[in-house]
Order: sequence, then structure tokens, then C-alpha cells
Amino acid sequence: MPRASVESLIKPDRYQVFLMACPATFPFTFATHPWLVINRKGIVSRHGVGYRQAPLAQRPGLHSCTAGCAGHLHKDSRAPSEGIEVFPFFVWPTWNGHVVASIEGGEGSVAARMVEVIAGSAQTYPYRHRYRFLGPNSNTYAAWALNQFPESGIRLPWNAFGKGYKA
Amino acid sequence: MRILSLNCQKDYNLGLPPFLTKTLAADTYDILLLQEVTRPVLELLANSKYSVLNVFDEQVRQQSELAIAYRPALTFRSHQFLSFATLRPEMPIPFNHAPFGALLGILDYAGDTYAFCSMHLDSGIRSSVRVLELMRLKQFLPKDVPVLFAGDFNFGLPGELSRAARLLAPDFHCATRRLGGTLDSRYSEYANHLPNKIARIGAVFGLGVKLRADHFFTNALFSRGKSLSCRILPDRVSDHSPIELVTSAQTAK
Repeated sequence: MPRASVESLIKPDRYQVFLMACPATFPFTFATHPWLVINRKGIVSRHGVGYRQAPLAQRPGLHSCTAGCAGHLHKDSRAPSEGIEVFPFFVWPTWNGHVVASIEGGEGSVAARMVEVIAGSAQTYPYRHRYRFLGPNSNTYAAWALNQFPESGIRLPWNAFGKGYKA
Repeated sequence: MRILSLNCQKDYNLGLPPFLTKTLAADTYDILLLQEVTRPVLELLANSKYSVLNVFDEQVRQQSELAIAYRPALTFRSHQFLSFATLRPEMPIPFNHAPFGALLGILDYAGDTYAFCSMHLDSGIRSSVRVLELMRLKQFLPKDVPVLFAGDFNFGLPGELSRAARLLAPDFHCATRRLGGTLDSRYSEYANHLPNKIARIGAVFGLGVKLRADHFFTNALFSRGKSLSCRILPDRVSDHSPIELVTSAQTAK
């Protein structure tokens, strides 16, 4: 059965957080690369960490960065369901992302509070200017956001290497 | 108000100049939202009573292929341009796609201010690029004035229009949700990328597909108190059929 795309799950009148993932770039495809997609009552944005820093990623032909990008933490530099590159140094093809877990709610819900934290993470995520292979990396960022809300029940999979990174 | 949206296919089809000449002389439409315009089309527009908005794309250092033509009854206030030229990564050498972007014109009409946007999304086989462009477009468009945007969305994959409508909701609503196919692949020009090559091979054998590529989207401020009716014009002037939107005052039932 085909997996539902994140765009088809968006509800314009709700707060939603989607944990998305795809395999890491070859040859590390056994590992996972996660990112977060938030929906603030119809305003959808994608937040995730990549190995390219924002000024370097803003080259013609590569995904251009937005004003919301900070260091390695990117906002809307790719479509919500687009994964990372399949092969290193090749910008295409890319993996397709799939929804690992999601949470939704109305005003004041856990989802609404998560949305606020993730939306402001460009200023608050401590490792936004640092990236290492085993952490801090994209898994560290997703774990940092999710660990602030254990009541959400969303956990990263076992192969999210770097989720337990401690400085 | 009558609005026409048309992808001019870079003046490739011989039927385009007579159609535009006839349309401009008849003065039927208040606004023409055009994509893939070339110099001959701009010259046709310049020689009519319509005013033309066309900008220079700083990102790729060339003239944008988007244009908005409007009647003298409308007054120009300001414009903005959002380029999508660099959003599609290409291998092995990254290159830019000049036609893609969104041209926004803020115009006064009958004492009210409106925002009209002519836009053109990526034509590749990756729908993720179009999704990203729509996200950027949603942030780019103003929220406090009546907005209408139309153009070539290049939706070809199953479910793309539904996903786009969800992404643009609740701010924008698709007025052409039930309109039929507007892009006929048999009339595509040759271009050095896969979708066009497949279309050209199919056209040799008379095979083609019709895709619902062109649409009108409006916000609530635009459609408030109005009845919107859309239709596809029968004229074959490019690989896209022209589409028109007519607004009329809503009558109480």
C-alpha cells in the first residue's frame, strides 16, 4: 500500500507536527535522516538539519535557503516530503520522505506547543552552527525538539544515530 | 471583471498572434495573466491599449517570461517578483530555469485595490519542486487585499491539485477545481528534458494526454460577494488552452 504524502494529511484548521524520515545518503542507508514538518492552521513549514550551512546551500542549482535558515538548521529549503540526496555530491535523485509519526490538536494542545517550539528553533536550537557525522546532526535536532514533549509519545527509531548526543 | 490566463508557449504556435490581436482589439478582458511571453508577444501587447507589466529577473539576469496586461480602467500601484529559477536542482551541471516564477501586480480597480499574480511552476517530473514553489508563493502573496493568482501550475501527477489545494488552504481556494484538461501534450514543443521528449514521441503517433495544468486561485477577500465562473476557451493557441474567469455580483437567493 502506498504511503500517504504529508501534503494530503494537512488540515488547515489544526495544529499538526509530522516526524518525517528517509534513509541517509549512500552508503549509510541503514541510518535514518529525520526532519519535522509543522502545520500552524494552514501555514506549513519544514524544519531540519543538513550538512550544508545556509550560506553555502544558497548556490544556484541547489535548494536555495530562506530567511528562516540558521547555520545547519534549514527552514523550507526543500518540499515537506522530499528527502535528502541518494548519492553524496549529487543533488538529484533524492529519497522520498515518509511520515514516521504525527500529532495534532487545537489551541493549547501539545501539538500547538510543539509547533511554537519548532517554529522558533532557528533561534533556540543550541547546535545550529555545528554539524558532525555522529552528532550533533539531523537526529540530534529531531530528538532535541521531541524530548521537550515526552507526552507526545513520538520517539525516533533505533537507527537515528546521534539522537542521544550530549555535548 | 473578466480575466484571462494563458501560457503563450514562447510564441511557438502559429495561432497565438491572431488570437492575441483579436482579443486585444475586442477589449474583452480587464486583465491578461500571461506566461512564457517572448518579445513578439510583448510587442503585440505594447501596440494595444493595454498596459503591460513585465520585469527583469535579477536571479538569472534576464527578462522574466511572465507578464500582466491590464486595461486603462485599472491603475498600477506596485509590483513584486518572486523567481523560482534556481529551485530545481539539475545534474550533472546545475542550471537555471528562467520561465518559472510569480509576478505580482497591485492594481486599483473601481475604487478597490486588488493583487493579481501571473505564475508558472516547475515543469519537471518531480512534484516536490512544485510543492516547494507553492509554499514560497503562499508566503509571498499579500493577505490583506483581494488576491487572484493564475497561471501554469504544471500539475500532471495524480493527486497534485488536491495536495496543492491543501497546502494553499485556508487562505486560497481553487476556482477551477472541476475544470477539465488544459494542456494537450500533442502540441508541446521540443525541449531537452524528459517530459517534452516523451510528449513529442507520442505526438508523432497522434497520442497525447490532457492535463489540468492551468488554474485560478483566489482568496476569500476576492471572492466575497462575487460569483466566479471559469471556462476553457476552445482556441488552440499553444499547448495550453486559454482559461477565463468572469466575476459577477452574487444575487441573493
